[in-house]
Amino acid sequence: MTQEQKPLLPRIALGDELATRTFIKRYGGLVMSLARRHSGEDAEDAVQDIFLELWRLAARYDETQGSEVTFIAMVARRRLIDRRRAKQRRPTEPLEPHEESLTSSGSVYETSHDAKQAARVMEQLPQIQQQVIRLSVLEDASHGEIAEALSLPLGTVKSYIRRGLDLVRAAMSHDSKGAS
Amino acid sequence: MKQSDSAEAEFTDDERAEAAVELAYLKEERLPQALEARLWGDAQAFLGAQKNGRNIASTTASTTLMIEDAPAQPSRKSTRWATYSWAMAAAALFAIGGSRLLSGNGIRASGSQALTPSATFSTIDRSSTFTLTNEILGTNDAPICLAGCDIGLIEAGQFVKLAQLPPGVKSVKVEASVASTLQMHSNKQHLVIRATGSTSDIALERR
Repeated sequence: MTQEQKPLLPRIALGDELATRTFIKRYGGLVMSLARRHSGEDAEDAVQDIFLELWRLAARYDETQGSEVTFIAMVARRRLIDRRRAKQRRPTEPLEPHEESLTSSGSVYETSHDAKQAARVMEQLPQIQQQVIRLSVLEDASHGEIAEALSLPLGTVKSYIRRGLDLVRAAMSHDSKGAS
Repeated sequence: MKQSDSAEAEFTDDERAEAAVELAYLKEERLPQALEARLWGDAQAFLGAQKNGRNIASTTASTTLMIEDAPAQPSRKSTRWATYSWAMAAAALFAIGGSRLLSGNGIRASGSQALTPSATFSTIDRSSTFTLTNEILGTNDAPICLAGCDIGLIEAGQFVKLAQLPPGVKSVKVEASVASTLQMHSNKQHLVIRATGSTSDIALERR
């Protein structure tokens, strides 16, 4: 992905074949990465599922409301969570929090302004709060599971997530207001 | 953030923040070429449906699917029929892109590819899931989707659970794992069911 790419979803909504093909090439890796993280061995099936959903929602993407890559990540995350719930696949093994570093290099981080804002906020949070948010967002862990895994009170887990996401949201909102 | 006025497409500010956090930790992978090809097949099906003004999500409430065994030798008139009848819209086969197959009462399917058993099959039982995708085989072919089962509307690309096997069918067998991708096409007057993989076979086993 390059920095100045124009969104493709509006063109896909008009039935533009070239845009659709470009969309697959541009975002295939991104969607694959998300699916791999949340779906494991079903990742390829999930990718097909997500792309179909993206095409169906293409006309509803509003570029004044946010970047295309964030929209894609939202659609993908929702779909992946739905799939997991439909299959009622919950992790049977206890959560083992692992360190996951912010992506300081790589195409997603480089090209997504929202990701940079989120990374900036996350870096400023205490380690334990970062870990709670990572488990919630990246591992789809429930509040209860996180509380158990990290030996934290449930209320603390909830407030860590709430306040952390509020800060990310505020940073993104502030940024978009500044840009407009 | 509200991306649309549709409940389906509406996203919350929390979802947007979570997506940004997710992206911040994401290391992008390469898309496998085979998957890219499948996505392109899906895309063509989608665009075809869109061009024809059809909604890929549309379906019928109840459809009877008839599957015809392909004779081992074409000269033999050994047509056998297995009738699929999903009650209460438990499963519905529907067509997009102008398929002629969707009559609401019966869809005939045949082809040696579709119903040739193989020793490498593993059984998909009532609780198994598999994926259905669209693909356009040729200019005269229209993509189709399989819908239904106990979790509501199923579209191409989604997992399908055979909560209710058709009468007379003991099990559905498919090559490789249950996660195999099945591709279903309308091939002129016939329905072709294929599993991606080395041999692309699916079989129905009768009681």
